[in-house]
Amino acid sequence: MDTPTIFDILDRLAFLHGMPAVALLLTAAFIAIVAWDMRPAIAAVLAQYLLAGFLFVDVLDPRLAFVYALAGLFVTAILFITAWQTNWGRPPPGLTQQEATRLGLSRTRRLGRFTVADRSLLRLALAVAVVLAALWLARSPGLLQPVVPAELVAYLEPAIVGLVGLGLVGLATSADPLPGGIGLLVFLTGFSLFHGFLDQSLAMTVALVVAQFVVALTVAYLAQARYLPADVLD
Amino acid sequence: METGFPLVMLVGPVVMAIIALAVRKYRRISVIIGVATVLSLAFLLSLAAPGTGLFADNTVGFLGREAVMSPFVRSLFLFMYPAMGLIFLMAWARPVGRALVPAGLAVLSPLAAALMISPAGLGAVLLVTAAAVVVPTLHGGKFDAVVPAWRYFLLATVALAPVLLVASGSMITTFPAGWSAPLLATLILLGGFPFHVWAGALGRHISPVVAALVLGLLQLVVVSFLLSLLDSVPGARAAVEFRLAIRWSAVLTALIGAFAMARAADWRGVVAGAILLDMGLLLPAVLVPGTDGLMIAIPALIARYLALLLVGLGLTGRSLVGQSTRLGRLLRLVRPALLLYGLLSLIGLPLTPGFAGRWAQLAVVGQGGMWPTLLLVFALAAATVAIVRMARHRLAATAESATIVESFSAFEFGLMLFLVMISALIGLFPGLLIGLAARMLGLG
Repeated sequence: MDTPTIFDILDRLAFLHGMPAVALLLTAAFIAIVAWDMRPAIAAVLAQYLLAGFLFVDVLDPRLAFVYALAGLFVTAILFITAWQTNWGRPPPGLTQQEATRLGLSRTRRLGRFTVADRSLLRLALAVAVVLAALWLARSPGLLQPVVPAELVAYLEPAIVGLVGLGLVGLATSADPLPGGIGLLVFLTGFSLFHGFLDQSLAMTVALVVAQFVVALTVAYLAQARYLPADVLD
Repeated sequence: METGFPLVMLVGPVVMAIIALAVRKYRRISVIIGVATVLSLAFLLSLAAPGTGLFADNTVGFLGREAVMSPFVRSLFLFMYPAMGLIFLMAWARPVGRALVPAGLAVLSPLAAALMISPAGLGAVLLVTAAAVVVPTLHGGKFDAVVPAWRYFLLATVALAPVLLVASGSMITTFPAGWSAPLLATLILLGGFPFHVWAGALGRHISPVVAALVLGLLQLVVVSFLLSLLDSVPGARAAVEFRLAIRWSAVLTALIGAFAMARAADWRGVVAGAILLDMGLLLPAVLVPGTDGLMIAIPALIARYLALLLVGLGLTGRSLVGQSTRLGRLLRLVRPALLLYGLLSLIGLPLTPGFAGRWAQLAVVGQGGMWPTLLLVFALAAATVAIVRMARHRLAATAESATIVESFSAFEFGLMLFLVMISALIGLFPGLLIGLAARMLGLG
């Protein structure tokens, strides 16, 4: 059996082209930002990278788009190992109020069976607002039209605005490197999608992929520094 | 591939950083490697004058683009290599963290590449890499430093977006508010209000020596990069909104710094506030185009670097309980005096190195009206009062602990003497620092 080429794969996924891919992408990014357990968040980050790679086909050479998706796979692997080593982002049980404050954990409240942090609720509310703004943009596009071509603006504009907005929500509402880092990576994905229209050179595409790796490695280091005793890192 | 000297500047520090990382458990060996590397690089760079000498070719291929070492980059790194060596020597005198030497060496490579490569977009990514390289040094094994280190890196990365938009040039011509991306890039990269959130906490938790590396030397490259980026979009800099926002951001950052100093309960809080105040006062330099902007920023940043080294020597040291002698009583005043002089230099009072760039900064702010200048002078006055108040407390505490004697090694004492002499010389003759900046820019 022949190994399918990039173009074969794209042909098979043609049914996703356009708005369906954007809807799935924004759903994945939304889960990555609002999930407080890192297991669904990391899975959503992976989905986000694969779907973003699919959208990059409309912006860059398909081979470069594939490289972007592949880089996302490695970034997700780094985040997965980090999250696994830091107990999936959950704070250690039995913390005193003083310890929780030092860890930067916000106050929690009970909602039925769940205990939710105030900061998570804020993140959820802001993420919903961003998704609603992206949906509104899908109905009346044109904000980025000078840069994004008219034939693509209908579905790429909500994707770019949604990813950048969700990323900003994620990075601004968490002091923790891991969830904040996921926000930063989502932000960079959205921005790279936009920047692809400004500069399609190989050097810049590679540089932006390298930037994502650098972010993932730094997030991994700082997330472990926050979780593990100092002498382990040293 | 070209084989010019830039290749040595890009590869050499990284290779030596790996070696320093391997021996990081042996602090002094790591320091020797670091100092030897930067001195060798400085020596080779001095031989690499454009068109002559050992390395006549000043270009190198990098990521499919050409990196060119301009005379300014050469002059800047002729200063930065020995300055980095001085930081490493501080690590000899006292522990500053095992990551300092490897990170200090490794960061030289992306910093050099960021200034040499074109287009500026690639340089912006290299600055993110540089920020990532210094993160272990900022963290320094302290739990409380994780969040400020993360915020520092986060904002350095977020700045990538507006910098790339400015570098592409499209925001200026396509969107009506074309000044917004240059403004965001400036405020995020220089830590101006409201993007100053990392500075206060970082100033409290990191060693002043690390601050001299990250907020002094590294910032020299960041500011040079930013000013050259802003020169590429003169329209943005001329916009009234841009100038107004920079001025008021400078004022608010400086006021927040002065307020933090006034409220500080310990020296570290005062140092953190003074750093923030100095960061605010650096912002007006971006309003001046061309080499004139660098003529303001470079002396200010060199003075910040020197002031933080003085603060580093003054803030920590070994104190022993012993017999109090006349010499011992005199030596007890050395550290507070260094700390005081360093802090006064950070806020830029006369007879300190910080004074060299301060008046030019105030003059630039003054072009936008009276109020911003008055508020900045008020911030400087409040900061001075905070320093004097804290100094009185420290002196009182020193007088009470009559049996505590300070312990200096000969090396540390020599380092102190060297730094004090350099700082006093610049304090007495501010023109020296301005002359150095002019020579770097090829104006002297």
